[in-house]
Amino acid sequence: MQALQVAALCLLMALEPVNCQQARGNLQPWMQGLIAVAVFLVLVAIAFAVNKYWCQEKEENMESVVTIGDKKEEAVVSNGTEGRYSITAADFRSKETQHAYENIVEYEGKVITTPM
Amino acid sequence: RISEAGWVSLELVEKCSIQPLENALLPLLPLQSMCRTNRSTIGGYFLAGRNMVWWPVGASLFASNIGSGHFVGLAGTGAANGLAVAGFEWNALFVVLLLGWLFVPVYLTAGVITMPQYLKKRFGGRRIRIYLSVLSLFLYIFTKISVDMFSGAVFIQQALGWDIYIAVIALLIITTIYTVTGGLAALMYTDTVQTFVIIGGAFVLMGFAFHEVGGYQGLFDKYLEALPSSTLSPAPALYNISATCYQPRPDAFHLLRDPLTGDLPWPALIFGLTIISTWYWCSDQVIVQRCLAGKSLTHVKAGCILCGYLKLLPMFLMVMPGMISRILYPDEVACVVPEDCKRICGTEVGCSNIAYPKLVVTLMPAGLRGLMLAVMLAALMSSLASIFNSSSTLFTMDIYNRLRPQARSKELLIVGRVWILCMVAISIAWIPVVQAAQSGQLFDYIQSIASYLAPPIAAVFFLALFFKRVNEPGAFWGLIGGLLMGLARLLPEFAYGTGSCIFPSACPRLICGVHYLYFAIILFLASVVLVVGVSLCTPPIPDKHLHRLVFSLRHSKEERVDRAAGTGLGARQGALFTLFLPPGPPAGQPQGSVGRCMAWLCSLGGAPQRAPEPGVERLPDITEHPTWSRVVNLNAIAMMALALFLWGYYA
Repeated sequence: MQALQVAALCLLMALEPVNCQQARGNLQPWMQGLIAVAVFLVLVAIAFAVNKYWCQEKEENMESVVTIGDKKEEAVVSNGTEGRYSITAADFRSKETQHAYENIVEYEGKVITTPM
Repeated sequence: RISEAGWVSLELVEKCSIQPLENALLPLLPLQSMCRTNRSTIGGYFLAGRNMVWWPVGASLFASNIGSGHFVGLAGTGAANGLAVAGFEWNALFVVLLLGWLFVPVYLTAGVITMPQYLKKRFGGRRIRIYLSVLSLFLYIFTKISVDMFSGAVFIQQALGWDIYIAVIALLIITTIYTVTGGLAALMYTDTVQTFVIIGGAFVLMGFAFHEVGGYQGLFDKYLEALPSSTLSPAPALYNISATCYQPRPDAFHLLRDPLTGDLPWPALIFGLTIISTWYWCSDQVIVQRCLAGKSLTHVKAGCILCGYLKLLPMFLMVMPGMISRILYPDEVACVVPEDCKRICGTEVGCSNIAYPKLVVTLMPAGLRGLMLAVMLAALMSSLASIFNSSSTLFTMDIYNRLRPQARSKELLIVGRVWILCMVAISIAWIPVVQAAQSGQLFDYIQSIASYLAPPIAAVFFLALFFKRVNEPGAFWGLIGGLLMGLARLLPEFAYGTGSCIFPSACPRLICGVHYLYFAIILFLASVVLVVGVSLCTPPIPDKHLHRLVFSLRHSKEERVDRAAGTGLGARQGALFTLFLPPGPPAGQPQGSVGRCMAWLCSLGGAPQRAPEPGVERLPDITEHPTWSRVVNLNAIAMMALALFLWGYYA
């Protein structure tokens, strides 16, 4: 016990006084930086997870898409989903011509589209 | 025709010894007169046809932010107080993301071009716009014109050894020639080019500076020993110089400083500054206009990220060279005896403002030095000219025209020019204040003025976007109340003077003791309470007026009933557009040769005014490609991570 106390005392003596005076001086600057980044990334991950599992419920896979202006090119919208339709539906018009469409895997969700 | 920028630089280069390199690089400058494309329509002029891809957006965001005030101010405060002033820049890069992600989508769907126009659509009514015009004139004079003139004059003073007022007058004369002969025409592109020439020069200078001081480690080893040689008061009976006035601060290498005793306390730097930055970056016409020119929302966001990365640079390009300047020239830059300072730079409170010009003049190789000074002054003059122009239009159109609606165009023209003269006079009269304010630290001065006047504006814009319930009376009385509170601090502070380390100000502690950024937080919160309180006591604005004007309704597809008169581009708003157009006779061309000659002289040779075209009314959509949107989001996170690493590193 005595030896331990002496060792601790020696250690304290050996340390430079500045080490004890400066509150922030005990970390290397790059370490501070890494800690800041790590904390930030953890926060982002938490935010992402919260967003994914709690807030995404009502939106499901859909992207809210608004087209203002070009009314004539409005895509087919199933009933009850005004203003929120699968982004893939907006994209399956072929790039070559306005009247051609590409076969793209249909969005599979709870929305039932009845062909008219 | 030789462009004015070229002319100015030729003259200066002559004074700073011509080198072949300069002659090779000078043709860069006359770009000024070449980029005159696509300005014949409002949309074309303002928004570059809404066709800019991400990198010009980001570059011009950065370029319109960085001015010679930054070189003088950041380096000067860096020399005096150490690294912390870079926090001003490193805070802004988060706010730029706020702009791209939260503010610009709403401005885009609202289909507005100017910020007053947005407020008018959002709240209706006219008085908010008049208020904003008056306040922006104030801010122009006190934070832009006088600061620009002062920092340009410091450069000239250091380069040519002139008195600061002679330098200002020379600057003004050259600027007048510059504007009268039509140098005003193209700003956005050439400003960007000039800024990047300056940044390139700054990189070179940084290299020389670090070389001179013995590398990065040399800066950190020697800064704390950078003391002036004469520190004894020549008149001990009158005053003594305490050691804290000339020793570098012990916390010079820290960004985050003590919340009570620090010169830039960390809560103020993080929270208070965010408020000022929100005003500067998210509700200021100059900045937002750059974003609205973007091709799509994704491009705007990417531009904001680029600007954020560029904003990391000033720490290394300006603040650290400023500190090096103190190490290399402690007697000049860190002077403390008032008589010495007066001899060195013309003011008694300290000469840290000369840190950067001093480096340019003494360290740069002769050729680059002339180029750097020339480009910097040319950029400064073009920005001065555009401020003169837009503020004179602001005054004639928004204020004078309302006082005297029957005023004819010739009268408006003359009033506009007289107003410019008045502003110049006020600004020159204000320069001694700029010189001495905040212990002679330019950047602190700018930020403190902004802290007293801008928080109510930031609060109103913030609430306008994110709270549907806020209405016109709330916004207006919030702005007025905030202004009164701000003036209650601003006026005593400048009446008593901010004092210096040796002669502290006599201002009572209760009024001036609070750090200006803390005051910004208080003012912001008070304005928010006032706006929300008054809004809750008055009837709300129905949703039909708000579609696509507030954040929560940005995706709404409903028809909006516009409360602005007409369909949005009535006569009044036509007048509003001219605020930012190159000057032309405000209403039609004057007839007759004398009139035309007058118009040519007075209207600064601008093109005739164009009628606003209805095409701008096409509403842009804010859809984003999911992949690219994800890429941009990830990039934003990467940028924030890098920024936070640097914050942590220099904390």
